[in-house]
Amino acid sequence: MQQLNYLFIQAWQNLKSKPSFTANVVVTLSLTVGALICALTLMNLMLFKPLPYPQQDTLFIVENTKFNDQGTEVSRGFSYNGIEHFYKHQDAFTQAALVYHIADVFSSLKHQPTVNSAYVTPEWFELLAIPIAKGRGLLSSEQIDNHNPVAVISFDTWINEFAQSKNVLDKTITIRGINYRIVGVTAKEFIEPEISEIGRKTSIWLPWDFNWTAQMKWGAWQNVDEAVQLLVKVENPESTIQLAQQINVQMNDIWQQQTGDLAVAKNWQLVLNLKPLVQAIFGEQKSLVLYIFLGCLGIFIIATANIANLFMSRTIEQRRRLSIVAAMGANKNQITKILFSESSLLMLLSLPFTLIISQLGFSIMQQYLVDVMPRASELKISILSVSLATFVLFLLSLIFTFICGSIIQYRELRATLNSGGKGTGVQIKKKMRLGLIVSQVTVATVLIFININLFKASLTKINTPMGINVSDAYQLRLSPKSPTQKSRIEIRQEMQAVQQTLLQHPAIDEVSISLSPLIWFGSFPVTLPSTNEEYTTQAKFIDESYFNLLEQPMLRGDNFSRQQIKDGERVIIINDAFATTLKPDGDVVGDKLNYFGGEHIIIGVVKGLKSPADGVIPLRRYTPDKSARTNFMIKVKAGQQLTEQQSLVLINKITTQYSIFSFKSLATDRTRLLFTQYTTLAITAILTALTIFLASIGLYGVLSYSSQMRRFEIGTRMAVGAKGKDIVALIFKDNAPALLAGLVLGLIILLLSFFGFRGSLDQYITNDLIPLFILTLVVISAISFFSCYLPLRQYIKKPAIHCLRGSD
Amino acid sequence: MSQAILEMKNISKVFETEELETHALKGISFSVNKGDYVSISGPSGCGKSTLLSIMGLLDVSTGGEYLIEGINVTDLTLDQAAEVRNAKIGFIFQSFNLIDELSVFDNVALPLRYHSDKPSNQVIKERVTACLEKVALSHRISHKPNQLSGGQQQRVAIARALVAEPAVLLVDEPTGNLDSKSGDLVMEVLEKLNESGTTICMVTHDPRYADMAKTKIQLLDGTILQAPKAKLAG
Repeated sequence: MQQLNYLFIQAWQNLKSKPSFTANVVVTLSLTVGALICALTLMNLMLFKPLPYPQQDTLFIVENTKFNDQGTEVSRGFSYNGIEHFYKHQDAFTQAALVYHIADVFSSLKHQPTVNSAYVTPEWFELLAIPIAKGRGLLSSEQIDNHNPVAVISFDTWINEFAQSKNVLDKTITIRGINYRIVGVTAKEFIEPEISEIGRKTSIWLPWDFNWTAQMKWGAWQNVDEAVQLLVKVENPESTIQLAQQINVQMNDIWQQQTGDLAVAKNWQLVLNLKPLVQAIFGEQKSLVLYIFLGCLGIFIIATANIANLFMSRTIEQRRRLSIVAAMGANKNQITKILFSESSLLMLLSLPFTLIISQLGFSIMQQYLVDVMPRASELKISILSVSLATFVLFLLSLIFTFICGSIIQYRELRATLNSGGKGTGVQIKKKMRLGLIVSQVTVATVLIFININLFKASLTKINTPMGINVSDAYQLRLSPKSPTQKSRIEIRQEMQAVQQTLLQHPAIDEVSISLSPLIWFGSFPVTLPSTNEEYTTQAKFIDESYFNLLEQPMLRGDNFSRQQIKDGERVIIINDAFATTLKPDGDVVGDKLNYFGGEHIIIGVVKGLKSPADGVIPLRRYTPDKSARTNFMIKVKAGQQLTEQQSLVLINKITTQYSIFSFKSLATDRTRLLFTQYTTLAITAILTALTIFLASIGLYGVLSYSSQMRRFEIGTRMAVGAKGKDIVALIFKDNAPALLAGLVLGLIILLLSFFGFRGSLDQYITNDLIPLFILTLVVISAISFFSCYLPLRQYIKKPAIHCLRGSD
Repeated sequence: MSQAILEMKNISKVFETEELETHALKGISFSVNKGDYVSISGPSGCGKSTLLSIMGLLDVSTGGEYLIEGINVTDLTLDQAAEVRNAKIGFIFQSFNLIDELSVFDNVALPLRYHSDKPSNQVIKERVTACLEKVALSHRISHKPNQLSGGQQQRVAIARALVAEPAVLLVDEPTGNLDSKSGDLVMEVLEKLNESGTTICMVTHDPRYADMAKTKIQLLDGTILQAPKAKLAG
């Protein structure tokens, strides 16, 4: 113990005299191990840690897919009537809960905030065992068809909107004119399953009966309602296939009974599937986590190689001290203990900083990645992360001790003192130097290539034109303060009056009573009467100003007229993707399509809109909107601004019955839809920059040492007439095999990944891979060249005597 | 009249640090004629090696003028200096400065690899062989330096200095790392070379070897203490 203390005190004294070395190691390790711990904790959370719900492995989300008689997928998702009927009549599951995710305005609060709401059946609280801070959750008294207007609010809502009032359970809250009595507050520790949208936080839970579709009486059997989901609990998770078969039979029977008179649905089939809740939450995001982990691991490997290099240089620097110790009788084991005490002390110093960096990483992820990373809010420093950090750092101290020990030739070390401190007692072997070069180039090649690829894929998606102009355009959505007794026609007239008032504002250029194309398209089937062929299309209800406002080009035929909108004529405009599907030349103006039990004439074809969420342009149709919708798109004149408050003032001139549900620029919506791409762009850019930076430092370190070792040789060559360029060429040529080996190894790893994960890499495997690989080669070659060249500058930019001094 | 191969006119060298200015050479002037055998001697720190480095264009002077075969080489760029060094000067170091990884042949051939004429492999082979024969080491052509004795290594270094047919050999303490027997052997080779017309300028602190030179220059504290009047320039 006493000897251990002595060793650590000595190590501390030594490190104190080398602050730059100590700082370099601690900073590099803290950053890279911290990032690795972040990635590992995230991976554990997403791949291994059970969900925080009792018997979470028995919880499943029921998915519903419709196929037509050709076996082609028509749509995904439940119809409102279908899911409600299934809930009421199912006997396959122990328990089932309906949930309807939407946003609402708290109109009874002065500032009328728009919040996320969820209309649920009481089982939602039971299945998730939602912890309650005050009052209760929803009970059987709030079961479907009971129409009992109560509400459970979230802990955050209690704090933010009710100032943590002790009497919150005596209060009511008004949403769309209905007063809900607050009966409970969820506990702070409740973690919501992010099944409808990652990062979504529900502020209020209301009984199912009051959901929008029920209130607006929009329920139908044939239309997909994207807001609804069904959570079920099964007795035995192993029996999901049998259960799915059982409910498939039930649902198809009901479907045929309910839609039998609809020609379009004839011979369609529903396929229900049970998706584990954990899978429903994480979905595709697992690959993102894996990517982040691999990125961090790559950087960690490069950084480890760099630090190994630093440690070896440090050992060489210490050769005199070590030789004295050896001369005094220290054996090899004792020399190793000296090395270990220094490396382990450095790791110990790095540990708190590593944990700080990890916590910082968690905070950044919670701040910026909460919308793409499920359960990110649960990230925190835990026993696991501390243990992992300690383990990784301890392992590193062993590795560095081993590497440093391996460059010490104990016999020569003892003789070093006799040779005036020169000699080969401590020397980095050529093989080890080459190994460091090869490993750094390999990892850097793989990381840079993958990152450049992902960066380019994201950039391409961001830069893909949408086919519409969203600049200076806003989406304004209104929500009624109370249930209205007005007819659809009256509401429509009111909205048209609002439209006219808005248009009179000098800053406003165009107003359309339509919903933004970036927010929602309904999914509806249509039939081509001539062939009876069915198509599932995305549909939007619009007015005559919609295309003008968005500058979406009309390729054939005409736009809707105001009269056609007013009369609700059976006319339709489709996009070019749908037109060319119907007829290869796309000339479909005048043709007819069947839906909603009637024939509609195609009067125009518009250029397809490719929203950031679209892989390919979907088949779309646009229908005159004669309903009582309260959504506006507003285009302001160039250089003009419009605020939410200004809009409200204008609306209040016509009616004060509405509050603003949302007011957002379309450009903001586009950015929101591209959030994953922007995130990928940022992560890949950071990882690429870090990789290049660390690989450059690492290669520079190794090659600099290598050049230093060859200083006299360089001097001699210069003495016999070698010029600067000859020396650069010589060093580059000598290191080329190792650099090339690294590149080849990197290429092999990439090829193996390419063939091994071909299926999941489909979207990235394009003809662009070759130029991107060439770009990677250029980057790596540039790094290698400068890593060779820069250490030589100190020799070739000075008279040759500088290299030769001390050679005698 | 003898032809001056090297001419040094008022050469000075000052080493500067933040706190200290050291005058290593103070206005050195002399010339070396074709076929000369000049020894430069003096106590440690008198500026012998600094002078030889400047003569060999390995270092630059702080002041004065330096001519090789009548051409002013005082202000050459590093690359121009390398070219002149390669063509006109053969350097022999105290510690041989052979490259361990290269064979004797490749060590000797090194100056030709950097020659502006880019001689063919055949020419290189012939010249290397001829030079090794001059130093009686042609039988060691494929050996590595660490397989040779110190004396043999220095003879390889002499062959390397000769291979580009320089105007002058600059020799820095050639026997400093050798035992007396090997040293004598090396000096014998140098003497023979001079007899056959090679110009030699040698730094040594061994009076026995300094006496072997035709012209002796003695340095003290950066100035010439003693040199034949006829040889002093300016």
